[in-house]
Amino acid sequence: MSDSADNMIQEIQGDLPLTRRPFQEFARHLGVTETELCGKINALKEHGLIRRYGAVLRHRDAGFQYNVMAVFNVPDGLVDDIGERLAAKSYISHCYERDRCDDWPYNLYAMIHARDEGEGESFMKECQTIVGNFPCNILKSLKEYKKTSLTILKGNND
Amino acid sequence: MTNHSVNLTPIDKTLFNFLQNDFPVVQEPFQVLAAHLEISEDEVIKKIQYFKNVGLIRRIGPVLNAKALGYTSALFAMSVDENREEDAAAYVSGFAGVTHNYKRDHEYNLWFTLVARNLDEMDTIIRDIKKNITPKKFLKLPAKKMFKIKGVFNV
Repeated sequence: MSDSADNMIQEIQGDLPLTRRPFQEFARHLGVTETELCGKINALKEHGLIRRYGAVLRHRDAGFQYNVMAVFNVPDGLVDDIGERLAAKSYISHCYERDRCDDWPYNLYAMIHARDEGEGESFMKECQTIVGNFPCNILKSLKEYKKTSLTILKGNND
Repeated sequence: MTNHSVNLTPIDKTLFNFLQNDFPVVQEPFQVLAAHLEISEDEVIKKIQYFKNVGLIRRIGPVLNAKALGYTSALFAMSVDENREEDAAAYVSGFAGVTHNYKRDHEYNLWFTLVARNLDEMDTIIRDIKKNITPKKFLKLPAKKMFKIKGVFNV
């Protein structure tokens, strides 16, 4: 990534001010016009360096009190198909394949979010139907110690 | 929103979803949103401020793509004694590269994601964590394939 993209991301990576022309200050610091800055941000979105530009939630406060990590051990040949079908569910925010470990033999992970236990359990049942009769474990998130957005990482020497 | 004291009107909900999915990155974004919703720009700004005040929205900004930035990341799990859980969690959270850190109901009770600029940096941090926390068990679980990553919650 170029230095200028890195500088730009560092400038805008926090929170957008709630003003009529919220990109004005950022643009001024970077020595570009607001239109140029918006164009650069949109370009980074298109290239995928920025996944999304918008509101980042506190999902627990937004009413999603029931959050579980569901893990499954499915045959390697079925992972892609099952993974895609799980990912299509709106209540699943993250879905990954990972390698199995000796005492943790699961290769498919899905984060499920629901407003309450009842809703969560019905989502879980649906997932189990999608996955089929393979080993499954459900880990409830009991406490959120930290949840921050990724920011540009700086080393001690920077 | 069933488990929250906040009451959102239909316009609030439309705005809330717009803010997540279709935020207009232009010179006057709140005017654009106001035009869509047929309310004033000031009202849009007031509503967003409200969402922030009641803790629904953390911030408005870019969600970065670790992989595209060339960063290395992985999920880790540790098993630590319950009476040391809080201290261990606090130690892990102290690293800037730790973005998520959760307690889960399993023998593997601490789960965290770590992002680093490269594998060496990741290994250095993990060595430090293992040395200071001495977990009973430890798992490194990098992603092999990503099917979805989308922290959007439409109401």
